[in-house]
Amino acid sequence: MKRQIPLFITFLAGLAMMVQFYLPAWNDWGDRFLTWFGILAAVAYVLGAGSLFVVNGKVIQRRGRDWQFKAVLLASLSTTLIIGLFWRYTSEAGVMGWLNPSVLPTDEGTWFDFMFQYVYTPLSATMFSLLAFFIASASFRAFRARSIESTLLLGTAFIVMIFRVPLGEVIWNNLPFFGQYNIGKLIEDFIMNGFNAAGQRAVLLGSSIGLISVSVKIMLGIERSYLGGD
Amino acid sequence: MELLERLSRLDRRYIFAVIALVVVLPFFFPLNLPVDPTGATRGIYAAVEKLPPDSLVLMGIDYGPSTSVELEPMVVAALRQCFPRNIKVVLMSISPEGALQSRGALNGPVAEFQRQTGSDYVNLGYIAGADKALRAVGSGFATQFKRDIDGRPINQLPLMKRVKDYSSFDLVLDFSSGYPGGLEYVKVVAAGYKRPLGLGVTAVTVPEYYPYLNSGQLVGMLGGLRGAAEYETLIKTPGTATPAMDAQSIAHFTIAGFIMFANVVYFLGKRRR
Repeated sequence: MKRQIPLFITFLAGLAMMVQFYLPAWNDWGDRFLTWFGILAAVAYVLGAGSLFVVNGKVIQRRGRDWQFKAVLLASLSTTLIIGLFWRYTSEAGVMGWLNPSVLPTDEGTWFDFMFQYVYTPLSATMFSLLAFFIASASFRAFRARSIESTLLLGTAFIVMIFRVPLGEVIWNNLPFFGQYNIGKLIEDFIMNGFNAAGQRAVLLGSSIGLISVSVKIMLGIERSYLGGD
Repeated sequence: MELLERLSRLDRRYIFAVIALVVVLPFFFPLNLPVDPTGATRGIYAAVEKLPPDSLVLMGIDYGPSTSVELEPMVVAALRQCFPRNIKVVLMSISPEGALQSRGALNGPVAEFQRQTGSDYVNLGYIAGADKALRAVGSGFATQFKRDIDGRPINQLPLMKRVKDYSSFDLVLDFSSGYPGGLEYVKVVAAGYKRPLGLGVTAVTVPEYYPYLNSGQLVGMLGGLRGAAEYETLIKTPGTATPAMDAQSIAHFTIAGFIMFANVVYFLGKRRR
C-alpha cells in the first residue's frame, strides 16, 4: 500500500493532465490539479528546508568533511528564514514584532529587503562576474583546433564572438568588398537561424520524445525512482 | 622551445589582469560604438509600437541579481516604450528572485513618467510552482493572485478589473535567465493560449530560442546585453546597456586574441615536436 497509493495518485494526476487536452469537459479537473500542485510546491519548500537541516546538521554534529561550510549554510538559511517570517519592521510602518500582517517581508525597507539588496545581490553578481575571468582562462587553455570538428566549432565561435559586437561590425563595415554585406544579418540568417536552429530543433525533438517515454513509464509505474529506492 | 612551453602555460593571473583592464577601461574612455539592431530585436519593438493606447501588456520578470545586468535594461527599455504611449502593464514572476528584481526595474520608469500603481501598472509579485503556476494563472488571474506585491487586494485595483486570463493581454513579454522562464512561456502562453509573445533572455540561452523565433511563436527576442543595447537604440533612450557594449566588444576581442595566441603556440609546438 505504501507504494501503490503514490503510484495510483501519480497515474491519476498524469491522466487528468493528459486527457484535459483532448476533452474540454476535463479542463476543470486539469485546473484543479494545477491549484493542488501550487499548494504542494509551497509545502515542498518546507520539506526541502527540513531535509537540508537534517542532512547538514548530521555532518556538523560529527565534524565531517567541510562541516564549517555547512554551518555557514544553515546559519544563513536560519537568519533569512527568521527575518523573512518574523522580523517584519520598517521605519515607515514603525512596527516591530512577530508575524505582523501589515508589513510583508518583501516590502521595501524591511530587513529582508535589505538582505536581498545588500547581501544577496552583490554576492550573486560577484559570483556571476567571475565567470568572465574563468571563461577567458579556460578558453586559452582548452580551445584548440585539434580535429576537424573542433576547428569548425572554433571558427564558428570566432565569427560570432568577433562580429556580434559593435567593434567587430565597425571593422567589417570598413573592409573592402565584404563591407557591403551586413555581417549581423549574415550571422543571423546563416549561423543562428540556420545551423544553430537546425541543431537546436534536433535536440529539442529528441529530448521531447525521451520526456514523453519517461512520463509514460512513470505513469505506468515502470519508473519508480522518484519514490526513493527500487 | 622553452619559450613556447612557457607561453602555453601562461599563468592565469595575467589573463585575469588583462580581462579586468579591458572590462574597466572602456567605462572611463568610452568608444561610443554604434549598435545596429537585429531583426529579432526589431520584432519586439514593432510589436509594442503597433499596440494602441490603453492596451494591456503582461511582463514576466524571471531573473535574479546575477543576470540583472543583462536583463534589467531590457525591462526598463520596454517600460520606457510602454508608459509614454499609455500602455498598461501587469508584472508577475514565476521565479522567487524575479519579484524583488521587478521593483528595481520599475522604480526609474514609474518616476520618469509618473505612473500610478493600480491604474497604470500592477506588480503581482511571485507565484510558486514555475510552469504549473503559469498554467494555473491561465485559468484566471483572480483565482491565483489575491494581492499585489505590496499587499493590496487585487479586486480593489482598477486595472485588474480588465484582467481575466491571458486573453486579456495584447502582448506578453518575458524576461528570464533560464528555468523557469522563456521556455515555459512559449509552451503555455504562446502554444497553449496563442498570445503574441516576446522574450528577453541572457546571451548564453539565446541559441535555444531560435527555433521558436523561426516558427513564428515569438514576435521577437532580445538576446543578452547586446539585445538590450539594440532595444535602447530603437527607443532612442540610451540606458545602462549601450555604454556597456564598449566593454563587451573589447572583452570579446581580447578573449578571441587569447584563443588565437594559444592556437598559434600549440601549432608551433606541434611542428617542432
